[in-house]
Amino acid sequence: MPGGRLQGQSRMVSAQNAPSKTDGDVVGPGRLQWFEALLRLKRCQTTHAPRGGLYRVSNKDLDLTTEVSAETDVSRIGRSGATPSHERTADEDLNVVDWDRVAASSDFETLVKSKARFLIPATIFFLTYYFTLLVLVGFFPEMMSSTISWLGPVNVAYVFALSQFVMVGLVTWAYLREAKSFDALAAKVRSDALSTGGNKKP
Amino acid sequence: MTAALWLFLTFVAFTLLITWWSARQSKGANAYFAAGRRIKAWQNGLAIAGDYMSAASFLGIAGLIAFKGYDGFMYSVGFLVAYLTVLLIVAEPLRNSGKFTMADVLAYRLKARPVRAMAALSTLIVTIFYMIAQMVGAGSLVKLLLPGVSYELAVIGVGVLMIIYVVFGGMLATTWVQITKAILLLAGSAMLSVMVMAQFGYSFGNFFEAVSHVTWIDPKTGQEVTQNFLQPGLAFKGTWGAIDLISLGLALVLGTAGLPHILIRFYTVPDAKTARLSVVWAMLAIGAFYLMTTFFGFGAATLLTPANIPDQNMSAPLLALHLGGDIFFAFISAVAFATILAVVAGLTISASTSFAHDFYTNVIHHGRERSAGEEVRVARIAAFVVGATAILLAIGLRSTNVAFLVGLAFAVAASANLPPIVLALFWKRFNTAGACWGLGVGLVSSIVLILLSPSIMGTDGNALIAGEPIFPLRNPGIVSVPLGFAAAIIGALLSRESSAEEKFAEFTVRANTGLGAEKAAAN
Repeated sequence: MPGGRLQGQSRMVSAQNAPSKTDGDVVGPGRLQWFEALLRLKRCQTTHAPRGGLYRVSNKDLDLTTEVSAETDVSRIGRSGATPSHERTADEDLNVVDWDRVAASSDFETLVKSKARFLIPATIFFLTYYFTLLVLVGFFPEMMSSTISWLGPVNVAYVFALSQFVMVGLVTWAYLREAKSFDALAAKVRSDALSTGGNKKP
Repeated sequence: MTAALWLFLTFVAFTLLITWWSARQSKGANAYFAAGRRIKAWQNGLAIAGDYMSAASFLGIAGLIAFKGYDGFMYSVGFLVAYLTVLLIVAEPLRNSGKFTMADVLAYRLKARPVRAMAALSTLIVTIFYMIAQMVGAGSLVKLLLPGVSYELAVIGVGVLMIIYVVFGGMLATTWVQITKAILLLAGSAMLSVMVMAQFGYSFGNFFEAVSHVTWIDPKTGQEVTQNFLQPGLAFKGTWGAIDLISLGLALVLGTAGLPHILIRFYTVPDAKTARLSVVWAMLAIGAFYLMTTFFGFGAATLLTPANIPDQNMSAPLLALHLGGDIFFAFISAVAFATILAVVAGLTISASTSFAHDFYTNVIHHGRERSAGEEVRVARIAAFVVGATAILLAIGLRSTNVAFLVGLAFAVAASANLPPIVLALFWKRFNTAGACWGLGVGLVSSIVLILLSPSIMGTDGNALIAGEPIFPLRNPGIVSVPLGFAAAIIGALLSRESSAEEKFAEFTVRANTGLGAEKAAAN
């Protein structure tokens, strides 16, 4: 199994090296490939066991880092997986965030509460408005067929159906308006969490 | 007829160009599965619209309105209102807490393997059913539009194209095929609507006056029929009809937010705010389109009358022939093909992503790629297999009426997918058992109820199963959605999972703030 992986890795490295082969000739590409392959192998074994599951390691892609930088440059090995801690920004190193503390912070609580204050009534409203149409049309088709004098042949049912389009527009407009304040609060929570590691006293 | 072929070939050439361009750009999993998360809001909005407005919407609803009037328009309303669920409940938290698939949101704080296995199964079932409906539709359409092209050739053509888009171009190519199709469909519908209104001197008064008194001679009985197409109750009759209508509404309004191919579109944008704006763009496009169904649906009813439409699904193309002659007919037919292609491409990438990311990498290999790029490689193979399977099934089911498969896809999405997503997002106490129960019961109940419904069972010769339908409704939503929710809640209450509850704080912070969300690829 490790042998297989090693081979796979070294093949990949050589493929990547191909375009810059002439530049790398001075150092000797063959040896370099082995060195990199070994490093890769090592990283796979030591760092690919993220503590919190899938999301901690955000990028397991093929490494797209260009091959022109100095050999000593650590980041050359990969942007994926574990960057040495001194190179990480707080944003990248998610483990510095104390999630429970962020969750308990007053800003975050305000965010969740204000979202709920809008989203719950809005959801109840649009579902009620929509299913009222279906119930009335389904159970009282005769009543819904009555026409409105100044609209000629157009009946209540059709006007109510068209009003659903207006309702969708209004709810969307209201949400977009509210969401501005959600975005501002969320940005504040994010920057606080990243600058203090979530350890700010609430 | 050849004009339709040329227009369609132009569209195909253009989409292949898009695919070639995307293939040159696509590198790595984020690029392949999520278009590098760099799609703009308006682009993703149009792509969602292109992913969503299937042949069932364009041809199906036009036909329903032409034959059943107001009741057909109920589909239009439901398809749009459904986006409020997507906008308010699902889009942003999904973008913030997931990576490539619907299951990501469930697997975040639950046990990844069982949940992902179930979610992948549900995704595959929804997408393959939906895809077969589209492809059988494509084959039948070709038979009517291009008498020279056989059903098999049409199905294989559609299948091969969707495989090419997805295998070579990934999400980026799929996105642009969908955007192109959405623009074509909106343009075609707008032209058709304006031409209909021109017949009534651009007067809504005249138009609705005509819609309320349509007279034609019934070809079967030879009697004159006058019908008010604005009158509700032509399709959904009586008490069972009313319940069926409500059941349909439930499946549409809750199902859209559980359709895997719609959900994965939110991973293609840089952040939650863009996801929100892209829903709004999608709603503009979708709302405009479904409003226009009034004009071309009722237009077909009044200008052609049901007596002159031999096949309900051909209402829109026949109306185009009536109003704009051969060239316009060719254009509308080409638009209908483009519609099918874009939707099946979206379904294929959704199915293959779920297989590669959820099932192969996370269930079988515990979340690790054994070699770099493996997940993308597996997804490409899966896309090929899914495409080939869909071609074979569509050819095998050629003479079957498969319209119910779209309804089934929405029912499964609403009853199996949505309950676990909503509960995982908002209920701390939710856990793995609840998700698996919800997915399982939702899936089984909607499939079984459809099998027992009038869509499958019937006493006339056309039914797939002979016999009186055991379940009276065509749409199982009103029973299966509550069953799905109940199973998810009961399953969760019957077991305790401390790890899921402990991670709830982290999950809500991520879902609400976007802290630690997947980033867009650098330019």
